[in-house]
Amino acid sequence: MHGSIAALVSAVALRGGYFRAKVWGREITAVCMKDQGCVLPRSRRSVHDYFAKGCSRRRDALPYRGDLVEGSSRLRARFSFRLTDGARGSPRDGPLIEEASFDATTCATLIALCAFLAEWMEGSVPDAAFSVSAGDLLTCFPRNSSSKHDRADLAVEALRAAARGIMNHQTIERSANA
Amino acid sequence: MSFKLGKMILPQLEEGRHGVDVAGMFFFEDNNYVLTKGNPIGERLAKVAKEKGILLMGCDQCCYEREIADKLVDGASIGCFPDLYGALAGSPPDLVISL
Repeated sequence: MHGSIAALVSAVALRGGYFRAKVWGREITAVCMKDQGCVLPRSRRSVHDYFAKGCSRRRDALPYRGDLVEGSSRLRARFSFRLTDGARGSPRDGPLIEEASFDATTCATLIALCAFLAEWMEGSVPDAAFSVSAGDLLTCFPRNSSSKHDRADLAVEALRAAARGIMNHQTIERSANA
Repeated sequence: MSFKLGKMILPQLEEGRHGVDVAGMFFFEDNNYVLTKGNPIGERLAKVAKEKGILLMGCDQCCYEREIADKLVDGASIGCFPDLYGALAGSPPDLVISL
């Protein structure tokens, strides 16, 4: 029992409302139900800060690449991930996102939102992508314009597509052969 | 900007003697400060834009950089070129004047 509590405490460091813990000797990753409202932290940086960060990002895709998702106004986005080493078990016991990258159409809002999501995903489990909604994303930037909801939809959908790619073992090589 | 817009174009629009129907205005860089709430020119512009159906749009990147994206006058939006073209696609302008 004491071991479980200690594991829970150490697992709070996992972001995205998820924690990793050992229960009866088996390591699990689970959702923290207390944080079900919104799993994203309110950004202390502005949309412009993330746009600038997104513009200077590395553009080559990482090994696990999601599908290219197209939104309104011919906007497109795609995320890719590098995973930490670790044995894959059940879907919730897999490795963490070590590095996240993205490619997106040139739109200030879209690039900023994708940069924010990429930063947030690093250190999280891939499943964290499914806990985020476009509404959550927009509330992280209270000074953003709410008229950009379609960009948030696209960014979140692209993130989920990449997470699904991990579940399907969709690496760049496999995408190229498909 | 205060002279060309505030002392020529805006009074003409308010008086209905500008000579053409203005489809929209798009603002770049520091000109976006004109569109912020409380700006005398911006407030007058918002009023006449509402009356005449004029699109008011600020460059989104410029507004984010100045942290005024959420401080624009009523009716003004932010966007980039594709948003501007899309917004004006229904009634494309015959003339484009750059100030």
